Amino acid sequence: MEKFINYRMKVLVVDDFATMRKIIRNILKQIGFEHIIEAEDGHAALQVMKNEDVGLVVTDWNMPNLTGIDLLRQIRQNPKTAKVPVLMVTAEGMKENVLEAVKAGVNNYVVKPFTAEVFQEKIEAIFKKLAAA
Amino acid sequence: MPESSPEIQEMLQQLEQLALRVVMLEADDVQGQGAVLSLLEELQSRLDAERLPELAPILGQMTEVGQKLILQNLEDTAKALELLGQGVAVLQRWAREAQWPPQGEAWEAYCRLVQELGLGEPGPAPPGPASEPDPGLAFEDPELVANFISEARDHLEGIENLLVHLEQNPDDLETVNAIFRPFHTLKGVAGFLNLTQIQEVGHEVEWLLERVRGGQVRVCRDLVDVVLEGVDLLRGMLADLQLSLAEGKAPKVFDLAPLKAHIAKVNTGESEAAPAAPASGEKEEAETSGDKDAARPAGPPREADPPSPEAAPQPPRKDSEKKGAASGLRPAEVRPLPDASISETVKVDIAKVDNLVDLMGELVIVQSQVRQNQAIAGLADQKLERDLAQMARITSELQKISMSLRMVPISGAFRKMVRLVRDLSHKMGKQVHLYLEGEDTEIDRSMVEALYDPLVHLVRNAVDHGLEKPEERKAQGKHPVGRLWLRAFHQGGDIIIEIEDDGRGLNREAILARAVERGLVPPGENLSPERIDQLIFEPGFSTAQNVTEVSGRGVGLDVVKEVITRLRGKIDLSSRPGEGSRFHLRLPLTLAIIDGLVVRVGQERYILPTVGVQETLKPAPQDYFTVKGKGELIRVRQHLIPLMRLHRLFGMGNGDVHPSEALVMVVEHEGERRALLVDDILGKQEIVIKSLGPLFQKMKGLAGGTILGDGRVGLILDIAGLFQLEQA
Repeated sequence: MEKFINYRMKVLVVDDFATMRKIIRNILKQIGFEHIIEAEDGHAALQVMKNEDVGLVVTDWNMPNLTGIDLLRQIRQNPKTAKVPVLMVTAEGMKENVLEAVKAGVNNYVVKPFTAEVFQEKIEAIFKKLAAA
Repeated sequence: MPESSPEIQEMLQQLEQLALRVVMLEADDVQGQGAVLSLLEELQSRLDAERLPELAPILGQMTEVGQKLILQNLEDTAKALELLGQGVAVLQRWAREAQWPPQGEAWEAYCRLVQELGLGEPGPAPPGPASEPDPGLAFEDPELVANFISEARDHLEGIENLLVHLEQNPDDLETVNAIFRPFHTLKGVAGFLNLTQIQEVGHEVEWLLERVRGGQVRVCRDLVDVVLEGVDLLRGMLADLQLSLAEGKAPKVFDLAPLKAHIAKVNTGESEAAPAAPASGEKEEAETSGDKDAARPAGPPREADPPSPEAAPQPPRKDSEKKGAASGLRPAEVRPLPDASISETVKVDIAKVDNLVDLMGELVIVQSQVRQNQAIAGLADQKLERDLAQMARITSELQKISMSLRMVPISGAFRKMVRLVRDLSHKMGKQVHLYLEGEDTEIDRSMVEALYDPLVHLVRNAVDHGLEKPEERKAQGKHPVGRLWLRAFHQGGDIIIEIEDDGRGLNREAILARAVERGLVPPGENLSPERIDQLIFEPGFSTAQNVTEVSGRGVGLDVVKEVITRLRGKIDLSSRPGEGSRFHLRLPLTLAIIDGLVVRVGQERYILPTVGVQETLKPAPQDYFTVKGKGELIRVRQHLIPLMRLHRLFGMGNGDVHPSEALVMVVEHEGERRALLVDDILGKQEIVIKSLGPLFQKMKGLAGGTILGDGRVGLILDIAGLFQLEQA
């Protein structure tokens, strides 16, 4: 496994669909992450981030209440969380969403449905960049 | 433009920043690419503001390359990075030297790269590397699929109600979004689980809804119908999936052609009409309210449309716009999805909860056995006494809590009626508004399921027979839209459910005539209005004057009454001609506990559900009669009631006693009364019902068993079953 990733960090998975959270959780476990927290929407995610030291956020775009992009913006606005890397999960055919998220400062994105390998590549790319910066 | 102008200085600074970013940029640095894109957009808007359109094409091309990099739509990322670098150089040179048209090495290199990358031509976009589903990823995990099935069902239930809401409020874009979202998610997750057909249906419906969000397709009945069709199809697929998961066979292949055809029809039917009235307020709402995808230009969103140079620099859309427009609609009426709350919940297998409730019931029993134990009572220890009392309190509290785990809001049953009412009223050309009250009222999970059929029947009945057609209502001075209420509330430890309509009410003359015709009532009998109303619950009475598709299923209200009685509930009815009818259901909160009388018959003890017992008496010797052909009778206040002896019904040998030496309990079922002979009444208590197991499931006359205070089994009598046994 890559040295620049701390696999003990807390990873926050945000999705309103529990099955999806489970899929992502399984992949994260497969990659080697040990500590995974779930939240069912943006509000819940912010709540978690208030109390926990989250090292990576994986969020869906399309959620009720607070969408992924709104969550991303709030994370970036808060000086405490502004540097937390965010991986956005979007659906195929939602390219405009991707561009909007990227402009709002997302670290990387992944398009559903993805393989564990692609997901891993994206996460490694994020941390490789952070390590280089 | 003078070189030293502050605008140019600022622009040079921006370009400096951009140059720095571009130099550092790598193909997999999404964040860096985002920053470049943002800077390019800032520059673009600055140029727009200062009316310097000549640079727009260059910025457009650079933006396009930036976007393609992010979207991984480029084969040669090195060239793209080079183009950005050369582009920045060209821009810097222009800003410093105000030279136009540009010249020099950088410009030549830039032009070459633009050509090589084929910018501006909407070439076919290579699919992103991430779009290949992984066949083996999750299907090995049946639990995940099972999760998906149950979660998908929850979401679909939400959709139905939102759709009905949308049909009534076609401009409510928030609701469109809320309907769109589950289809979208369903599609996404189905992709992971390799459920290609579910994915496809999700995709088709999502696509149509996308066009509704974009304002190209209008909300109308056909649209709602076709989305509901999609919901039904998905439901069928989920049911099939569950089956194939349980039996380990391959899922069925569904025919998606009809749905696709209907979607195409709704799409084309509306897409001609929609642009005919553009620039209306509605259109503008669509532009600003949704997120970016709602504001996409018309065109099939299925294809990944590569950004064209003219369209490339899109002004950043502020999210606050979206919020503002959305709240300008009517969010107050939009019901949040069931999963929208932040309260923390755990999903637990229902079998575990059932088990817990069972064990709690036993704990309560054992606990009372301990307290009644002679040896312990003999100790006369005050501390022990107190501790036992404390334990009793805690166990009873625990039992209440464990029961409440199984309690669910009745909304599960109620919300299904929303769709039913919609479909029925359309089918019968009636207009009905359904009001749901007390949806959050909690009731045992098993009751919700059991109540579904009776509710369907009563709602059907109300829409079919109770409510009039709009013309008829208008003629009577009523509002053309009929009103139907579905209410639930708690009252005295029971749950009350009411189904009320403001329709024509019961036609008592017709009911009486029908009852006489059916031989239910002798001709010329003078019945009170209440008694006439009750006739519709009689077996063999069908209210439908002309059998319609809706109600004419050969099932009368007697079946409803039977089900309610089986659930140990009661059904009543009140009606006023011309003003409407109201069905009133009173049901216990749970089927797991009943109030029962413990009675002794010979050496056996039985429990008689209190709800069926009318009175208890000790007959005098002269009130006992034997009549040839009719058996034994007991006179209770001028009425002769047939006597039932339990040991005879259950074939337990000879234990005949004279009724005057025993007790008689008058029990009632469907208007018939019997005098049940028992030797003694031992007490009245709450009884935790335990199933007798599959072997005794079909035993007539017994509803189940329980463990009594002394640890012995007591059998719970089923009055309806006893009546049947007696007649057999």
